[in-house]
Amino acid sequence: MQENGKGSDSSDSTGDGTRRSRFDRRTFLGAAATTGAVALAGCTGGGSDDGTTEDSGSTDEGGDTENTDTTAASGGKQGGTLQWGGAVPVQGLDPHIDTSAASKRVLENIYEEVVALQDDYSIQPHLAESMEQSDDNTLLTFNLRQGVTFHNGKEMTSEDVLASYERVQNGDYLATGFFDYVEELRAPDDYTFEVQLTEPFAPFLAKMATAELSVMPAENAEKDMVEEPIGTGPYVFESREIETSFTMSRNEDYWGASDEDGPFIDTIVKSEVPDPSVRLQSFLAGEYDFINGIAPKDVSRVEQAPDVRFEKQFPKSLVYLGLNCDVAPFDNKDARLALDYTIDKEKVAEAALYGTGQTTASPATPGSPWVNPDIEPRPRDLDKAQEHLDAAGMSDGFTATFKIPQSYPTQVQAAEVIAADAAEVGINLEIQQITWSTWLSDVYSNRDFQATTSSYLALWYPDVSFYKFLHPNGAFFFTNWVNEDYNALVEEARTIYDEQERADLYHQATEILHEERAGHLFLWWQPSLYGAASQYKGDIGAPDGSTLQFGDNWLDR
Amino acid sequence: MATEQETERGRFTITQSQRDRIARFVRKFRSNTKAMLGFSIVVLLVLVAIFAPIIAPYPIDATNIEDRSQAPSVEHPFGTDDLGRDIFSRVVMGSRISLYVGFGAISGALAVGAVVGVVAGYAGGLTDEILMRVMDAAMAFPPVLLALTLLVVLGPELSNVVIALAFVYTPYIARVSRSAALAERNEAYVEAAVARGESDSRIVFSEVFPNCMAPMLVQGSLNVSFAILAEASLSFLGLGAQPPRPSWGLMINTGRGFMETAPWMLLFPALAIGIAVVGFNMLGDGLRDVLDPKVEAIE
Amino acid sequence: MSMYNYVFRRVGFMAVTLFFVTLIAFAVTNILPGDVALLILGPNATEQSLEALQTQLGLNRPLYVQYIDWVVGLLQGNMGESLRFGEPVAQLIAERLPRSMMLAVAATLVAVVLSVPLGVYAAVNQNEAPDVSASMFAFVGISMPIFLWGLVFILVFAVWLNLFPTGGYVSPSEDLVGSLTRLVLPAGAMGFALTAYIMRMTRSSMLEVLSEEYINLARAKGMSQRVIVLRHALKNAIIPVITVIAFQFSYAFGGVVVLEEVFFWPGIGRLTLTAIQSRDIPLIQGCILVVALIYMFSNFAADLLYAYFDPRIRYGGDD
Repeated sequence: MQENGKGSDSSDSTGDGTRRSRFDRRTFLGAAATTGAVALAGCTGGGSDDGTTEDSGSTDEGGDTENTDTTAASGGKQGGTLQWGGAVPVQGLDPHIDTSAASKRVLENIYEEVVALQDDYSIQPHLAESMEQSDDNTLLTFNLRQGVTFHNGKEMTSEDVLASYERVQNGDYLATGFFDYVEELRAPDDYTFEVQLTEPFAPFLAKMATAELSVMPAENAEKDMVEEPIGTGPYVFESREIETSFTMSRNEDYWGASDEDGPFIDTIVKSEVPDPSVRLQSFLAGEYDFINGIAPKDVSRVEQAPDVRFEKQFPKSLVYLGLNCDVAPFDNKDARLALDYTIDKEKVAEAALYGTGQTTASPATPGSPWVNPDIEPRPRDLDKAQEHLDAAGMSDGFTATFKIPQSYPTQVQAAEVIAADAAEVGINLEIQQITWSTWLSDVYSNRDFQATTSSYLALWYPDVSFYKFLHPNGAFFFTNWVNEDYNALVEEARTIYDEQERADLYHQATEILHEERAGHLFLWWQPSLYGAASQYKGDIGAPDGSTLQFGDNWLDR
Repeated sequence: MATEQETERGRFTITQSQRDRIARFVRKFRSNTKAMLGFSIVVLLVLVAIFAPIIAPYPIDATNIEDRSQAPSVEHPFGTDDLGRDIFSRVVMGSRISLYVGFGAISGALAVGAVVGVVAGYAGGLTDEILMRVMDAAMAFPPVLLALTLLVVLGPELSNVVIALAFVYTPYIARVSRSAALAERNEAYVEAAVARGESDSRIVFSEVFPNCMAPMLVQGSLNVSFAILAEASLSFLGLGAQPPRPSWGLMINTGRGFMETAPWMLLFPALAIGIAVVGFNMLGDGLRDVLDPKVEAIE
Repeated sequence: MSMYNYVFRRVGFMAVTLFFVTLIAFAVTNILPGDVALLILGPNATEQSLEALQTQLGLNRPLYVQYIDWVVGLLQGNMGESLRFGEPVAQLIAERLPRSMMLAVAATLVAVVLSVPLGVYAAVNQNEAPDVSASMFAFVGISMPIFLWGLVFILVFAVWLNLFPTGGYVSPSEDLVGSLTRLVLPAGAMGFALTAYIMRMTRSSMLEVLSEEYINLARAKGMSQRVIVLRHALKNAIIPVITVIAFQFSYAFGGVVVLEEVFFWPGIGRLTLTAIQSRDIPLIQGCILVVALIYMFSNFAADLLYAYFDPRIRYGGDD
């Protein structure tokens, strides 16, 4: 299995610049199923059960259980305007380029893909009517739907699909790397689209279900950057004012429209309200029907508020402490271990998340088979911390800067607790709040940092967790921790389809991460937290909590 | 005003007339309620800042999650914050940051601004024109906005806040000192010094400069309060003091999220800012009353 | 020197100052750290595409060439394109400037309505309880950063009393009532903070006028205090106050940066902050330049008003 998502969304407050995949375990399964790999229904069931329990549990506390039972299948009322108080302003509007979770939350409703993730975690044809895979899994043939129109009124044909794919293949877009495994793209007739792979490569189909391979009109695919999105989806882009609002309206001619599945809501207006307190106040005052990105500290208030539907999806993302293993002091393993031993992970998670999260010592999504059950976060132990400081030759401690993206209050809170803990053995972490753009350029790109915090989206795909961030060739490698044994393990794991065998490799890899105190020191897994007015019906959010799909949502008023 | 005899005797000895002036100043200062009130507040603040570690009952960084967001009580007179830290201790220690930024930035601004202003005022002509137009240009940018931009360049650190604010307030000082220097330029003692053949730089720094001190002090004192306010705004926007430093602005920024559930997190640092700003404002106002007879006549 | 010459001289000053303003705006923004191309393309961008974009945006040309280009563009009304959002800077600013204007004007109005009567009242009751209370009130206003008043107003009037929305902006053309209710809190908060200066000026100006000979004469003639104050004194005392109000307007404009963030008011202040945070250099340059221009012009207006109203001014005088 290959990398299936470019998952690295950071938490709710600012996702700009990060990327996500709307797929986690489900895509993995789907991809596995379609490539004839071992079916993983059992373990996935377990994983999703965990998630579901979280959801319904918290909803019960919210006292509005009946709302979550409302499924799209029961149908909904048409009409109305949804006022959405949004956490992170919409960024770019080109689905092939834009990396921000905030943009995906709207673009997911405007664009569609050839295939799509289903509720049973399989990948099924979407803009295609049917698809076939050759026996050797190298030829994918899609019979496209007829009568699908873009928002500009033009009918979608294989020409548009081909142009969209060639745009990514020949350009420099998020999914471009996946085309290394593509020999040829073909459109033999108006409604047939073929992908010829160089070798069996399951992740390609999963990738096709993400916005990174959204279908756009051929004329738009010629542009380097699309500024006005035109797709085939249930919602049509109306207008936006940067950092202020984003409006989309129901697609009257939606090919998939039905009384059961919508789309129902006439207009969706997203107001950009980045401050979590202001957003919550306005929501509780009735100004919005729906808000995302509730701060963990406010969860109890939302739960107690009357006529409010509270939703929690766990896990959403992993927050970690990043240590630069190329520069002093953290190029020294003992220095890293010393810091590790000073941190009380439970306290840090509690301080930031008020009981909504969970600590971890593995980069793999909780509930997945890739988690090594034998490895626990190191407990706080100042004696051991001092031993490692001595071993590092820094008995009196050391000083390092600690760059924290300021738009994440939970990470700032965590950083304060970590710095206070570490100071007790003389490790001075000097916090520097930086903007997201500074984080991207200084920390990520130039690797000019000593310690930082960041996060990535929960994804079922182990390759994202283990390869993308921790292998030197990974797309988001920046902590400079290099270990040949580790690299060999995760490289081998990419080629293996047997779950148990693969999980074993990842368990061993996790051991190395832990023993060698890799540059990623995992802090916690955190949920997505939403609030909605009680008249807001339908399933909130995409299955994995990483984005929003309004197609089957409706307003009961 | 200084006389010819004094300057001949040198600037380091205090003459009788200077002694008289100082005595007069002290008398007027003490009878001015505003000045005395402001002065008392400032002295109190300085004392709090000096003895802060003794006054503060708790270590300022000690987090205690079990005791987070506690309302004011006997153990925690100002309550605790979201990480369980004692707000009273943090507010007390925070006085050091505000005074450091206030005094630091304005000392810097005074040092540069006074030189620019006095040189411009004394030299006149093209030098004056160019220097003053540059100062005008710098003053056209709102202080917080300019400081913000500079901090993105310099990096978000407290010492950089001092530098940025010193830069921002330099033109204000320069303007005032220029006006003063302009007035002094035509005084008899300057003409006498010129007649004696003293060099320009000597005249400027040993004769004109000391006589421009009064208006600069007034402006400086007022600007300290502006700088304290600006530091709060910058920290509020995340580009000033960095956590866990107990900067009042930073505490307000955090407290903002707890406005309804733990208003004390915002209230006490806000009061502290208010007291400090009022103190320096009153002192500046009072000084102006005492030093500037024209203003005194009006009020 | 005649008024005409005075204005002419002032305009000359402004032109020179303007040159330095552009220089400062350019210098400050061009030493901003951070790779603009990287921001646009995201962390997955290749070296080649980064370089290509830098070339396309002209970021690797010598600074003085970039400056001259920028100024030439400005003279043609072209402020460049926002790197982050791909829209013309002038358009982005034109969209938001009226909103900030609306806020600043409303705030100034609030301040005038509060402070002029207060100042008159204080002057009439000099050194008595009303005077002292008015001074205290004004002192309270300036003792806290403007954003703090914003927070306090939100807490009291929006959260506790639920009288007004917590923030946001609605266009008056779409919904006049909604628009005005959203204006009340930010304008109130800023107006409150501005009250102190205008009140002080009103008070001292009134005191000065009230001590003039003709007022004493009026008193001697047995005119009522009310008539003296409102009909005669205020008319003359208001002149310097007007100039202070013009200065305060420019000051209010500076305050919007933080206040707009508190009330998520999508004006030029928030735009500037966004630009700074995303290192959108053309946008930062455009924003701070426009704010500086507004400051310069309202100060210029204040100077002219002052010169026009006050016959004692020495036109030839410096400052």
